[in-house]
Amino acid sequence: MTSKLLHRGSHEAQDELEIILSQAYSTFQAQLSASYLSTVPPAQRGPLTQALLYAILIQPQGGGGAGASSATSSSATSLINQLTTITTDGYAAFVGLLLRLVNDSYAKLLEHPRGQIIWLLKQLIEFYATDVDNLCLLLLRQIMLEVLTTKISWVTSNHGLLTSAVYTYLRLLPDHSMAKNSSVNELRQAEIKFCASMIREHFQECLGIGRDLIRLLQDVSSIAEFDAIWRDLLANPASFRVPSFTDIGQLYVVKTHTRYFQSRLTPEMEAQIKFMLTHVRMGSQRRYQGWFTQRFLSTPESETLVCDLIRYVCCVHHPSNQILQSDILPRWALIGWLLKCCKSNHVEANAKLALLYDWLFFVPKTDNIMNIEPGILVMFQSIPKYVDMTNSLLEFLFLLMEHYDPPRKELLHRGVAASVEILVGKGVVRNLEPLATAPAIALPLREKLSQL
Amino acid sequence: MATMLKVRDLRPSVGNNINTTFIILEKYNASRSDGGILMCIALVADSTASVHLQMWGAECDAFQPSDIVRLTNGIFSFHKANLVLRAGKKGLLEKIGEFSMVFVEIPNMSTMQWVQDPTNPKGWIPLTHSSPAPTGPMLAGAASSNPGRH
Repeated sequence: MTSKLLHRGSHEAQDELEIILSQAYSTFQAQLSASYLSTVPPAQRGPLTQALLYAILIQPQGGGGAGASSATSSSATSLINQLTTITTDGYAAFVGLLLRLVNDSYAKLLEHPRGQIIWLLKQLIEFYATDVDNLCLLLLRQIMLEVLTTKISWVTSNHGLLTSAVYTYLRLLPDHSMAKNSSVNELRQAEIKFCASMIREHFQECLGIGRDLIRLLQDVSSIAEFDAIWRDLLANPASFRVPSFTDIGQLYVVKTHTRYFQSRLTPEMEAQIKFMLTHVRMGSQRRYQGWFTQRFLSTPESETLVCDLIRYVCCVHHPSNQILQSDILPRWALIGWLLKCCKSNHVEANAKLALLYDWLFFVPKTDNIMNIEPGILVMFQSIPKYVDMTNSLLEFLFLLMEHYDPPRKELLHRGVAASVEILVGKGVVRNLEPLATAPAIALPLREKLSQL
Repeated sequence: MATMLKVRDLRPSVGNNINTTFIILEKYNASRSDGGILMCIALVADSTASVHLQMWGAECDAFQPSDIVRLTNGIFSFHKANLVLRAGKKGLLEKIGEFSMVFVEIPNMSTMQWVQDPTNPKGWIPLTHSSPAPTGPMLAGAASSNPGRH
């Protein structure tokens, strides 16, 4: 029997979900063509929901786009209305079916059902259906991956796109692994495969991402494919077949372009952060921070956004001298707030790393003092009221210097020394005295400071 | 084109000619009026001052903190003992944006003291440290923590 939903190879068994949906459709087909459904007994709701989904997906030229107003297009609409009348769970079951279909079989979906899914998504958004945001995200990821893998030669010839895709996937994969929805597994595997193969086969281009590539690769190092990449990066750099690449230390000194950091923020986030750092006076930021948190940082999954925000604030948003000399909210104060938004230790550590990352590898010729200025000011300005923050950051800095990359300790020490030298030299701080003499700062930390 | 008023320049009046733009800072719990209609108060502000906005019916759910709102043909007058800004029957509240507006919370035009304008029987003057000592009757029921000059 020909499938109306999915491509099916000549020796391929029919998809399980498709069987369920089409059988439900056969059972209830007569009832669906009636203009309304009589009261549905609870036991029938499940199969009827399945039937409705199948019916909508195969509905010819039904509700395919804005302005469709023929008699056939109203059929898809009337089917959705029927769904509404029998729904008692906020469309949860219906969206659940869609999630399963998109997750398992997106690549095999025929053209027409694909179009219907987009139309359905828009309807479900209007209904504020349960889990519709997950459906939207899942579709986005599927579509993105499909475009990238089916047009792979175009992607690899477009270096900007390639590197952005790698950066984005590396950044998102740890978040996806934390997601409770384990059905996302297959999609995730495909993304991992794509990303790893891009790195191995187009390493020269990926090198252009710079030092933040290392930072991102660390967060996925528990994934088998990336663990293998790590081993080769450290012990076998020649395997990447880029003659000029002989040591991972070469990547440390390449500054990551601001466009990568910018890509992690939505335009709205960026607008709000910029507004706070340009128009809001120091002391008046409390309400704005509350609104921003409520909008963008209110779910446990969104916590990792803090790291992206800190990279953005340090590396992309450099206030003018005029702003620096005014009473406008300074970057260090915003970052202090962002650090406090971290609930889990893991995210907090990543956030501190995001703040201090450029310190470790600072090269005066190519790096920008504005990237490291917020770090020192958070430390200074937190004394004495929030001196725990200063202690915590100093401790973390020294930990990084010793343990981030032990064989290349020297490089990191040089980077931090260069950072301190330029911060004092250009007058961002007069000297390290306040840190070195504050009694509230732990003695071992003060001793280490004097050695800098 | 109607003139836009700054919140600081609001004066109690029975007229419905207030045009102003502000950002919503906080919404307080809604309650039902005697007629059973949903009513709530919000603290709103612009770069010059804050004021209490009174919302009715569907308005209560339509606006949230951080919304930037434009009021056209509104009223700034007494409702029971409270001096509030509202749309009234002929006015309109419209959301025009979010977040990106600077504001101050002091002074609050709803909670400050007002005195009658000695030169104009229908007029009111806000009592601030720079205004002269009151010679007319004080506003009955005006909520204020510090009567008299500051």
